[in-house]
Amino acid sequence: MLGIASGVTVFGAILVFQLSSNLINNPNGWATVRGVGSVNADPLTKAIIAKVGIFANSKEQAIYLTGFAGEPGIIKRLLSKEKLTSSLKGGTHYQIIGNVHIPSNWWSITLYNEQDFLHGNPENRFSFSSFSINANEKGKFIIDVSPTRPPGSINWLPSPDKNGFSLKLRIYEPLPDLYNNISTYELPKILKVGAL
Amino acid sequence: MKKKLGLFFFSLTLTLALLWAGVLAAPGYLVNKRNQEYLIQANGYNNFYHQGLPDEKFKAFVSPSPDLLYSYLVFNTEKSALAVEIPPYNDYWVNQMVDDNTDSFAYVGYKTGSSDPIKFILYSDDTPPFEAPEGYQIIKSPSTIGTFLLRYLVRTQDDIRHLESIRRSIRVYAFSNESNKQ
Repeated sequence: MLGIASGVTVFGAILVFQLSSNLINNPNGWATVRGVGSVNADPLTKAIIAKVGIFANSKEQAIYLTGFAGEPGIIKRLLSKEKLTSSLKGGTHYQIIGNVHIPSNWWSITLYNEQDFLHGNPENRFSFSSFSINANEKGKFIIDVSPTRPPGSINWLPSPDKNGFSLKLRIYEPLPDLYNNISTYELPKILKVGAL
Repeated sequence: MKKKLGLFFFSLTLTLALLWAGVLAAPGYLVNKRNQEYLIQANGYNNFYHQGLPDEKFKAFVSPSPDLLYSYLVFNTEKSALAVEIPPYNDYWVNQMVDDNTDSFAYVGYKTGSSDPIKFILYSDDTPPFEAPEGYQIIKSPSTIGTFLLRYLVRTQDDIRHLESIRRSIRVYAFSNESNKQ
Protein backbone atom coordinates (compact mmCIF):
# COMPACT_ATOMS: atom_id res chain seq x y z
CA MET A 1 0.00 0.00 0.00
CA LEU A 2 2.80 2.39 0.91
CA GLY A 3 4.45 1.73 -2.46
CA ILE A 4 1.24 2.55 -4.36
CA ALA A 5 0.64 5.71 -2.30
CA SER A 6 4.25 6.79 -2.85
CA GLY A 7 3.89 6.09 -6.58
CA VAL A 8 0.81 8.29 -6.78
CA THR A 9 2.58 11.05 -4.83
CA VAL A 10 5.71 10.89 -6.99
CA PHE A 11 3.53 10.96 -10.10
CA GLY A 12 1.61 13.97 -8.77
CA ALA A 13 4.89 15.76 -8.11
CA ILE A 14 6.09 15.02 -11.66
CA LEU A 15 2.76 16.33 -13.01
CA VAL A 16 3.02 19.58 -11.04
CA PHE A 17 6.69 20.04 -11.99
CA GLN A 18 5.98 19.40 -15.67
CA LEU A 19 3.00 21.73 -15.73
CA SER A 20 4.78 24.53 -13.90
CA SER A 21 7.80 24.27 -16.18
CA ASN A 22 5.52 24.54 -19.22
CA LEU A 23 3.37 27.34 -17.88
CA ILE A 24 3.81 30.78 -19.45
CA ASN A 25 2.39 33.62 -17.37
CA ASN A 26 1.60 37.06 -18.69
CA PRO A 27 1.62 39.75 -15.97
CA ASN A 28 -1.74 41.10 -17.14
CA GLY A 29 -3.55 38.08 -15.67
CA TRP A 30 -3.29 35.44 -18.41
CA ALA A 31 -1.51 32.11 -18.64
CA THR A 32 -0.91 29.55 -21.36
CA VAL A 33 0.85 26.21 -21.59
CA ARG A 34 3.87 25.67 -23.80
CA GLY A 35 3.30 22.99 -26.43
CA VAL A 36 -0.48 23.36 -26.89
CA GLY A 37 -1.46 21.76 -30.19
CA SER A 38 2.12 20.73 -30.94
CA VAL A 39 3.13 17.29 -32.20
CA ASN A 40 6.28 17.71 -30.09
CA ALA A 41 4.48 18.42 -26.82
CA ASP A 42 5.54 16.16 -23.96
CA PRO A 43 3.12 13.28 -23.17
CA LEU A 44 1.77 14.90 -19.99
CA THR A 45 0.95 18.18 -21.73
CA LYS A 46 -0.60 16.27 -24.60
CA ALA A 47 -2.79 14.25 -22.22
CA ILE A 48 -3.91 17.34 -20.30
CA ILE A 49 -4.74 19.26 -23.50
CA ALA A 50 -6.66 16.24 -24.83
CA LYS A 51 -8.75 16.38 -21.65
CA VAL A 52 -9.33 20.15 -21.29
CA GLY A 53 -9.00 21.42 -24.86
CA ILE A 54 -9.10 18.62 -27.41
CA PHE A 55 -8.38 19.74 -30.99
CA ALA A 56 -6.50 22.83 -29.83
CA ASN A 57 -4.67 24.51 -32.70
CA SER A 58 -0.91 24.89 -32.91
CA LYS A 59 0.58 28.23 -31.78
CA GLU A 60 1.02 29.36 -35.40
CA GLN A 61 -2.76 28.99 -35.85
CA ALA A 62 -3.94 30.30 -32.49
CA ILE A 63 -2.71 31.16 -29.00
CA TYR A 64 -5.03 30.16 -26.15
CA LEU A 65 -4.73 31.98 -22.84
CA THR A 66 -6.74 31.50 -19.65
CA GLY A 67 -7.46 34.44 -17.36
CA PHE A 68 -6.47 34.23 -13.69
CA ALA A 69 -6.63 37.88 -12.61
CA GLY A 70 -4.69 37.38 -9.42
CA GLU A 71 -6.88 34.45 -8.33
CA PRO A 72 -5.04 31.22 -7.41
CA GLY A 73 -3.22 29.97 -10.52
CA ILE A 74 -3.22 26.55 -12.11
CA ILE A 75 -0.53 25.01 -9.89
CA LYS A 76 -2.14 26.13 -6.63
CA ARG A 77 -5.47 24.85 -7.91
CA LEU A 78 -3.93 21.52 -8.81
CA LEU A 79 -2.38 21.19 -5.35
CA SER A 80 -5.64 22.11 -3.63
CA LYS A 81 -7.60 19.76 -5.96
CA GLU A 82 -9.78 22.65 -7.17
CA LYS A 83 -11.10 22.67 -10.71
CA LEU A 84 -8.23 23.57 -13.00
CA THR A 85 -9.72 26.13 -15.30
CA SER A 86 -12.55 28.00 -13.50
CA SER A 87 -10.40 30.31 -11.44
CA LEU A 88 -12.61 33.40 -11.46
CA LYS A 89 -15.34 33.93 -8.87
CA GLY A 90 -19.05 34.28 -9.56
CA GLY A 91 -20.79 37.32 -8.09
CA THR A 92 -17.71 39.44 -8.71
CA HIS A 93 -17.12 42.38 -11.02
CA TYR A 94 -13.98 42.16 -13.17
CA GLN A 95 -12.84 44.53 -15.89
CA ILE A 96 -10.69 43.73 -18.89
CA ILE A 97 -8.90 46.82 -20.15
CA GLY A 98 -6.96 46.66 -23.38
CA ASN A 99 -6.34 47.80 -26.92
CA VAL A 100 -8.10 46.29 -29.90
CA HIS A 101 -4.85 46.10 -31.88
CA ILE A 102 -3.24 42.74 -31.08
CA PRO A 103 -0.88 41.67 -33.90
CA SER A 104 -2.95 38.85 -35.38
CA ASN A 105 -5.78 38.15 -37.79
CA TRP A 106 -8.40 38.47 -35.04
CA TRP A 107 -8.93 37.74 -31.36
CA SER A 108 -11.74 36.94 -28.95
CA ILE A 109 -12.37 36.82 -25.20
CA THR A 110 -14.95 34.19 -24.17
CA LEU A 111 -16.51 33.32 -20.82
CA TYR A 112 -17.05 29.66 -19.79
CA ASN A 113 -18.87 28.11 -16.85
CA GLU A 114 -17.37 25.54 -14.47
CA GLN A 115 -18.01 22.75 -16.98
CA ASP A 116 -16.08 24.70 -19.65
CA PHE A 117 -19.22 25.35 -21.70
CA LEU A 118 -20.71 28.73 -22.62
CA HIS A 119 -22.58 30.53 -19.84
CA GLY A 120 -26.23 31.05 -20.82
CA ASN A 121 -27.59 34.58 -20.36
CA PRO A 122 -30.57 36.61 -21.64
CA GLU A 123 -28.31 38.79 -23.82
CA ASN A 124 -26.85 35.75 -25.62
CA ARG A 125 -23.51 37.44 -25.14
CA PHE A 126 -20.75 34.86 -24.76
CA SER A 127 -17.71 36.74 -26.06
CA PHE A 128 -16.23 39.93 -27.40
CA SER A 129 -13.88 39.93 -30.34
CA SER A 130 -11.69 42.35 -32.26
CA PHE A 131 -14.64 42.99 -34.59
CA SER A 132 -17.49 43.12 -32.03
CA ILE A 133 -15.87 45.16 -29.24
CA ASN A 134 -16.81 48.82 -28.71
CA ALA A 135 -13.51 50.69 -28.57
CA ASN A 136 -12.64 54.40 -28.56
CA GLU A 137 -10.84 56.16 -31.43
CA LYS A 138 -7.45 55.08 -30.04
CA GLY A 139 -8.56 51.45 -29.95
CA LYS A 140 -8.91 51.28 -26.16
CA PHE A 141 -11.74 49.22 -24.67
CA ILE A 142 -13.13 48.12 -21.31
CA ILE A 143 -15.10 44.89 -20.90
CA ASP A 144 -17.21 44.57 -17.74
CA VAL A 145 -17.45 40.95 -16.58
CA SER A 146 -20.25 40.87 -14.06
CA PRO A 147 -23.59 39.10 -13.34
CA THR A 148 -25.48 42.36 -13.92
CA ARG A 149 -24.73 45.19 -16.33
CA PRO A 150 -22.77 47.94 -14.55
CA PRO A 151 -24.23 51.43 -15.20
CA GLY A 152 -22.83 52.91 -18.42
CA SER A 153 -21.10 49.71 -19.55
CA ILE A 154 -20.87 49.42 -23.35
CA ASN A 155 -19.11 46.02 -23.36
CA TRP A 156 -20.89 43.82 -20.81
CA LEU A 157 -19.94 40.15 -20.62
CA PRO A 158 -22.47 38.45 -18.30
CA SER A 159 -20.94 36.12 -15.70
CA PRO A 160 -22.48 33.66 -13.18
CA ASP A 161 -23.66 35.12 -9.89
CA LYS A 162 -22.55 32.13 -7.79
CA ASN A 163 -20.34 29.54 -9.46
CA GLY A 164 -16.79 29.97 -10.67
CA PHE A 165 -16.02 30.64 -14.31
CA SER A 166 -13.12 31.14 -16.69
CA LEU A 167 -12.11 33.57 -19.40
CA LYS A 168 -10.25 32.51 -22.51
CA LEU A 169 -8.36 34.86 -24.79
CA ARG A 170 -7.86 33.38 -28.26
CA ILE A 171 -5.52 35.08 -30.69
CA TYR A 172 -5.89 33.71 -34.21
CA GLU A 173 -3.01 33.67 -36.67
CA PRO A 174 -0.74 35.65 -34.35
CA LEU A 175 2.36 37.24 -35.78
CA PRO A 176 5.50 35.26 -34.79
CA ASP A 177 6.72 38.18 -32.63
CA LEU A 178 3.61 37.83 -30.51
CA TYR A 179 3.77 34.11 -29.81
CA ASN A 180 7.51 34.30 -29.19
CA ASN A 181 7.00 37.08 -26.62
CA ILE A 182 3.62 36.18 -25.18
CA SER A 183 4.93 36.36 -21.57
CA THR A 184 5.83 40.04 -21.91
CA TYR A 185 3.41 41.39 -24.54
CA GLU A 186 0.96 44.04 -23.28
CA LEU A 187 -2.21 41.92 -23.46
CA PRO A 188 -5.58 43.21 -22.21
CA LYS A 189 -5.36 43.48 -18.43
CA ILE A 190 -7.85 41.71 -16.12
CA LEU A 191 -8.66 43.63 -12.95
CA LYS A 192 -10.83 42.59 -10.04
CA VAL A 193 -13.15 45.51 -9.29
CA GLY A 194 -14.84 43.83 -6.32
CA ALA A 195 -17.46 41.44 -5.01
CA LEU A 196 -21.11 42.35 -5.63
CA MET B 1 13.14 -5.77 6.08
CA LYS B 2 14.84 -6.45 2.73
CA LYS B 3 11.69 -8.20 1.48
CA LYS B 4 9.48 -5.28 2.56
CA LEU B 5 11.77 -2.81 0.85
CA GLY B 6 11.70 -4.88 -2.34
CA LEU B 7 7.89 -5.01 -2.27
CA PHE B 8 7.76 -1.24 -1.68
CA PHE B 9 9.93 -0.43 -4.71
CA PHE B 10 8.13 -2.99 -6.85
CA SER B 11 4.68 -1.50 -6.10
CA LEU B 12 6.03 2.05 -6.49
CA THR B 13 7.53 1.24 -9.90
CA LEU B 14 4.40 -0.61 -11.00
CA THR B 15 2.17 2.31 -9.94
CA LEU B 16 4.33 4.80 -11.82
CA ALA B 17 4.40 2.56 -14.91
CA LEU B 18 0.61 2.17 -14.88
CA LEU B 19 0.01 5.90 -14.43
CA TRP B 20 2.49 6.67 -17.22
CA ALA B 21 0.76 4.16 -19.50
CA GLY B 22 -2.49 5.98 -18.74
CA VAL B 23 -0.92 9.30 -19.73
CA LEU B 24 0.36 7.86 -23.01
CA ALA B 25 -2.99 6.25 -23.82
CA ALA B 26 -5.15 9.25 -22.81
CA PRO B 27 -5.04 11.29 -26.07
CA GLY B 28 -5.88 8.26 -28.23
CA TYR B 29 -8.65 7.18 -25.88
CA LEU B 30 -10.18 10.66 -25.67
CA VAL B 31 -10.08 11.34 -29.42
CA ASN B 32 -11.57 7.92 -30.15
CA LYS B 33 -14.38 8.57 -27.67
CA ARG B 34 -15.05 11.92 -29.34
CA ASN B 35 -14.93 10.36 -32.82
CA GLN B 36 -17.49 7.70 -31.87
CA GLU B 37 -19.96 10.49 -31.09
CA TYR B 38 -19.12 12.33 -34.32
CA LEU B 39 -19.61 9.15 -36.36
CA ILE B 40 -23.13 8.78 -35.02
CA GLN B 41 -23.93 12.43 -35.78
CA ALA B 42 -22.41 12.32 -39.27
CA ASN B 43 -23.84 8.90 -40.12
CA GLY B 44 -20.49 7.19 -40.67
CA TYR B 45 -16.97 7.84 -41.90
CA ASN B 46 -16.02 10.52 -44.41
CA ASN B 47 -19.17 12.60 -43.90
CA PHE B 48 -19.14 16.11 -42.49
CA TYR B 49 -21.48 17.02 -39.66
CA HIS B 50 -22.24 20.74 -39.59
CA GLN B 51 -22.91 22.34 -36.22
CA GLY B 52 -24.85 25.55 -35.63
CA LEU B 53 -23.26 28.55 -33.95
CA PRO B 54 -22.31 27.51 -30.39
CA ASP B 55 -24.43 28.73 -27.49
CA GLU B 56 -24.97 27.41 -23.96
CA LYS B 57 -26.56 24.21 -25.34
CA PHE B 58 -23.46 23.30 -27.38
CA LYS B 59 -21.81 20.22 -25.82
CA ALA B 60 -19.91 18.68 -28.77
CA PHE B 61 -16.62 19.58 -27.08
CA VAL B 62 -15.47 21.82 -24.24
CA SER B 63 -14.60 25.50 -24.67
CA PRO B 64 -16.25 26.09 -28.06
CA SER B 65 -15.79 29.52 -29.61
CA PRO B 66 -19.14 31.32 -30.09
CA ASP B 67 -17.60 33.20 -33.03
CA LEU B 68 -16.96 30.09 -35.11
CA LEU B 69 -19.14 27.68 -37.05
CA TYR B 70 -17.75 24.18 -36.60
CA SER B 71 -18.03 21.20 -38.92
CA TYR B 72 -16.37 17.89 -38.28
CA LEU B 73 -15.69 14.65 -40.06
CA VAL B 74 -14.08 11.38 -39.05
CA PHE B 75 -11.99 10.13 -41.96
CA ASN B 76 -11.01 6.60 -42.80
CA THR B 77 -8.50 6.11 -45.60
CA GLU B 78 -8.22 2.32 -45.39
CA LYS B 79 -10.20 1.47 -48.52
CA SER B 80 -9.27 4.45 -50.66
CA ALA B 81 -7.80 7.92 -50.57
CA LEU B 82 -10.18 10.74 -49.83
CA ALA B 83 -10.76 13.70 -52.14
CA VAL B 84 -11.94 16.91 -50.46
CA GLU B 85 -13.08 20.11 -52.18
CA ILE B 86 -13.94 23.12 -50.03
CA PRO B 87 -15.45 26.22 -51.71
CA PRO B 88 -13.81 29.60 -51.06
CA TYR B 89 -14.95 31.80 -48.19
CA ASN B 90 -13.69 35.35 -48.07
CA ASP B 91 -12.87 35.44 -44.36
CA TYR B 92 -11.03 33.38 -41.76
CA TRP B 93 -11.57 29.64 -42.04
CA VAL B 94 -9.34 26.67 -41.38
CA ASN B 95 -9.63 22.90 -41.67
CA GLN B 96 -7.51 21.25 -38.99
CA MET B 97 -6.55 17.62 -39.62
CA VAL B 98 -5.90 15.54 -36.53
CA ASP B 99 -4.57 11.99 -36.26
CA ASP B 100 -5.75 9.26 -33.89
CA ASN B 101 -3.44 10.55 -31.13
CA THR B 102 -4.70 14.20 -31.22
CA ASP B 103 -1.67 15.40 -33.21
CA SER B 104 -2.54 18.02 -35.85
CA PHE B 105 -0.71 16.99 -39.01
CA ALA B 106 -2.05 19.51 -41.57
CA TYR B 107 -4.06 22.69 -41.97
CA VAL B 108 -5.73 24.13 -45.05
CA GLY B 109 -7.66 27.36 -45.02
CA TYR B 110 -8.20 30.98 -45.91
CA LYS B 111 -5.69 32.74 -48.10
CA THR B 112 -6.07 36.47 -48.62
CA GLY B 113 -7.44 37.30 -52.05
CA SER B 114 -7.88 33.71 -53.21
CA SER B 115 -11.20 32.83 -54.80
CA ASP B 116 -10.26 29.25 -55.68
CA PRO B 117 -11.66 26.23 -53.87
CA ILE B 118 -9.23 24.25 -51.74
CA LYS B 119 -8.75 20.77 -53.19
CA PHE B 120 -6.75 18.02 -51.58
CA ILE B 121 -6.33 14.26 -51.50
CA LEU B 122 -5.79 12.58 -48.14
CA TYR B 123 -4.15 9.19 -47.80
CA SER B 124 -2.33 7.07 -45.24
CA ASP B 125 0.06 4.09 -45.28
CA ASP B 126 -2.88 1.67 -45.58
CA THR B 127 -4.45 3.40 -48.59
CA PRO B 128 -4.35 1.41 -51.86
CA PRO B 129 -2.01 3.03 -54.44
CA PHE B 130 -3.47 5.84 -56.54
CA GLU B 131 -2.29 8.30 -59.14
CA ALA B 132 -2.31 11.84 -57.86
CA PRO B 133 -4.53 14.06 -60.03
CA GLU B 134 -3.51 17.56 -61.10
CA GLY B 135 -4.68 20.54 -59.09
CA TYR B 136 -4.93 18.69 -55.80
CA GLN B 137 -2.69 19.12 -52.81
CA ILE B 138 -1.59 15.67 -51.55
CA ILE B 139 -1.65 15.23 -47.78
CA LYS B 140 -0.51 12.15 -45.89
CA SER B 141 -2.17 11.26 -42.61
CA PRO B 142 -0.03 9.50 -39.98
CA SER B 143 -3.06 7.36 -39.07
CA THR B 144 -5.77 5.62 -41.09
CA ILE B 145 -8.52 7.13 -38.97
CA GLY B 146 -8.57 10.75 -37.83
CA THR B 147 -10.62 13.90 -37.61
CA PHE B 148 -11.21 17.07 -39.62
CA LEU B 149 -12.28 20.08 -37.61
CA LEU B 150 -13.43 22.88 -39.88
CA ARG B 151 -13.77 26.36 -38.35
CA TYR B 152 -15.46 29.33 -40.04
CA LEU B 153 -15.44 32.83 -38.57
CA VAL B 154 -18.92 34.35 -38.23
CA ARG B 155 -19.17 38.12 -37.91
CA THR B 156 -22.87 38.64 -38.75
CA GLN B 157 -26.09 36.68 -39.16
CA ASP B 158 -25.65 37.07 -42.95
CA ASP B 159 -22.40 35.11 -42.66
CA ILE B 160 -24.33 32.18 -41.18
CA ARG B 161 -26.72 32.06 -44.14
CA HIS B 162 -23.83 32.35 -46.59
CA LEU B 163 -21.87 29.64 -44.79
CA GLU B 164 -24.82 27.27 -44.80
CA SER B 165 -24.68 27.33 -48.58
CA ILE B 166 -20.88 26.96 -48.63
CA ARG B 167 -20.92 24.04 -46.22
CA ARG B 168 -23.57 22.25 -48.26
CA SER B 169 -21.26 22.55 -51.29
CA ILE B 170 -18.26 20.83 -49.68
CA ARG B 171 -17.44 17.64 -51.57
CA VAL B 172 -15.82 14.62 -49.91
CA TYR B 173 -15.52 11.40 -51.89
CA ALA B 174 -13.47 8.23 -52.09
CA PHE B 175 -10.68 8.72 -54.61
CA SER B 176 -9.12 5.85 -56.54
CA ASN B 177 -7.67 5.42 -60.01
CA GLU B 178 -11.03 3.91 -60.99
CA SER B 179 -13.12 6.82 -59.72
CA ASN B 180 -10.71 9.27 -61.38
CA LYS B 181 -11.31 7.67 -64.81
CA GLN B 182 -15.07 8.08 -64.56
